[in-house]
Amino acid sequence: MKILVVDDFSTMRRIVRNLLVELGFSNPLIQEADDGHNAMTMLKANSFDMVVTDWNMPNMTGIELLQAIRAEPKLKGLPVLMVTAENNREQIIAAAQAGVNGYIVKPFTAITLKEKLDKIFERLAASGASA
Amino acid sequence: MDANLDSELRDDFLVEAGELVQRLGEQLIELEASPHDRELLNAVFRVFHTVKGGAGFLGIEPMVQLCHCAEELLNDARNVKLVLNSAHMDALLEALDLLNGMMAALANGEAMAPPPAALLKRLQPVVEHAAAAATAAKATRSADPIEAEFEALLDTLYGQGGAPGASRHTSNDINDDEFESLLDTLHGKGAAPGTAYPVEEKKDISDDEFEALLDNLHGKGSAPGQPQASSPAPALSPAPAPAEAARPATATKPAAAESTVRVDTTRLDTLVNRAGELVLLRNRLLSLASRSDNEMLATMAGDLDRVSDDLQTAVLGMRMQPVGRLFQRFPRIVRDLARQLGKDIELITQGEDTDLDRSLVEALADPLIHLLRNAVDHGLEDPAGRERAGKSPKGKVTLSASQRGERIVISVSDDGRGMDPEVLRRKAVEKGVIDATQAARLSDVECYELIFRPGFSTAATISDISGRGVGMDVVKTRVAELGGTLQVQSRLGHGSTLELTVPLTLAILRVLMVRVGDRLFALPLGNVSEVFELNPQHDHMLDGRRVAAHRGRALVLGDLADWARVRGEAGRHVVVLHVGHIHLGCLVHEVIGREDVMVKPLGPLFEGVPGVAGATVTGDGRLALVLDLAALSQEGSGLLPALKVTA
Repeated sequence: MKILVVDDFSTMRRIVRNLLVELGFSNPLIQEADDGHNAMTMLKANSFDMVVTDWNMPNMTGIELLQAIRAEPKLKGLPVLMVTAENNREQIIAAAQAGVNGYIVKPFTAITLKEKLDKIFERLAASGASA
Repeated sequence: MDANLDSELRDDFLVEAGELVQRLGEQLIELEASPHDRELLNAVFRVFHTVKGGAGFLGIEPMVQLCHCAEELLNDARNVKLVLNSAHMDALLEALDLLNGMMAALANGEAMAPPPAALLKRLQPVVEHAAAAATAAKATRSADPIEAEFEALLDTLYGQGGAPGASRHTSNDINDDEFESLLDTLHGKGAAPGTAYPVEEKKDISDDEFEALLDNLHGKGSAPGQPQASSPAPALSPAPAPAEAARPATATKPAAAESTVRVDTTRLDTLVNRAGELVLLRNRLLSLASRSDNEMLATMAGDLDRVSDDLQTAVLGMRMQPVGRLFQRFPRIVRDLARQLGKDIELITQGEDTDLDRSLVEALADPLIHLLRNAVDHGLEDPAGRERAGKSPKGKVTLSASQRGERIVISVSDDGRGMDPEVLRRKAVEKGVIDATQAARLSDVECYELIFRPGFSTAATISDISGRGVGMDVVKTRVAELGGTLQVQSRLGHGSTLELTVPLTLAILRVLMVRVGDRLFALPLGNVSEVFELNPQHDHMLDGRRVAAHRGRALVLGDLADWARVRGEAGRHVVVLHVGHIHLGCLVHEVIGREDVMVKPLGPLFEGVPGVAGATVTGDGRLALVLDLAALSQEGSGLLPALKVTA
């Protein structure tokens, strides 16, 4: 499973990567982008199976990235997990409206991350079955 | 995560968060000057936000707490709920200091105290204010049609005011169940975005879309209201991609995630050393090739010469850092000083992108801080004094960097009162630095140079700021140790400029190669002002010291042969050295010429031999000691038993 981790803070990318590896995802298949624009370039050039992106980033925020992904025909079904600092209702509703698949609040453990990912895949499977 | 990984993460965090925090001081000062700069507010907010996020994962609770409070305050400012005042700025700067302390504690593995409650309180907006802001926010929220729509939507979804597992009206937080229900509402039960239900690209929700959402909701059959069965499926043909997504800049950016790699500086130094050794070998090969008539060898040596030159330039370039890294800590220092002294000061920095050897960036911090303090404390008048002198009450200190050939020039100028040569002469005599006859002979420029003499301070009373501890003489000596020089210019009533010049790099040293007996010595060229042949008629003994009459002055002489304990003929060539304010003539047997050398440490056995900075290998494969002139020019160094300054 090819995953793109997007965060402007490289320590955070490394943390997310470590947690994903801990959950059994293949380390070499995890790639990183340091902002939304680079993420879009990478997403367009390669086929990723999932995006884990930070919310608050300079240049292009997580939600702008999400909107760009959903606007791209090739990428519109790509699952996106948003990493936020607060589970603020307004923020999450906005993200859900923009088409986010799930959100996770910092700091989180591998177990929480797994729960969030499972939920995303459940939903994907369900829509795949109904589609 | 295992402990090893944790400590690696911690190191990463320290470096990366450290860089953010380092810039923060400067950003906060800028923010104080322009509190409405949204971009700056966002940037400052993001630093606290990012550090908090990282600290959260590393379990550094005090740091999370501190950053959280700062972040909240900045968030209110971002959302225009308050305007940052100087009390807020003070609290934020204090938070920054504390944060720096915490980073240091983390690096040293020390325990961290939770942030003081008093500071956290100061970071919080006033309570009534916050309450008012909250009401205001609530008012805007209910006035916002979209928000109202969604509130209604959620109410229908969960029943009026009720939410599964959480009472929604007491918090703005959302929980997992609510989120899942929200996704159900948006995309249909159990479906994912981009699959079953079209997704909007805009933040706004149109009436049609909202109707569709209601349809969706009504399909579950719990909400009142009239189902619009005839309403067509939402016409959500994908709108043109948002402008941000289509920016041409994205295309030109490389697809690689990481364009930079962090490398331990010791590995960089090793590389520099190896490149240096290669250059030394090349020099030997070149010298060999010049003595041979093998053309092939000459061509190869020439090619190697070019490639190794390029390699060395590239490797040295890796050691370079923009001087802006050094400058960014100064606005804070100047601000604090200005407040302490009741002065109004603007610090202007120029040439921040000038590259400088990494080791110099750190080494210059203290001398520059001292020069800045001096400018702020002694150079600039207080606002009233400035107005009396017909100047703007706001004083100006300019810090600028530029490259001149192989050297970097950093200057600190102020538009303050300037220096009065007469006052300097009088003070110097009063303090016994020089006598009255010497004072009378000094030119104006030489009078300014008096501030670099030990024991000289122009301030009548010792102030807290710059009059205690190190003086300008220490600054000058420190700069000389780095192979640099320090010069002063001044205009009475118009201000002073201190100009600091240092070599571009410390890795390669430009030296003057001299011979004493059969030994070679390398004298750092930065300290050499001239070379002349000693006329025996000008060679005198004065007060038990050997001096030469040179350019109408008495120049103290030291014989390098004595210091190196080399016997033989007497040296007739004089190399004039200036180290800080000390001038001396160094007698040698032969002056060979200039050379760029790579200084190599001598190893533990010879480490700390006074007067020796290291060794180098010359083009013909011989060893030369590189002399440490700052140490040699000290009294009793062996070069001269009792060296005294010539005036």
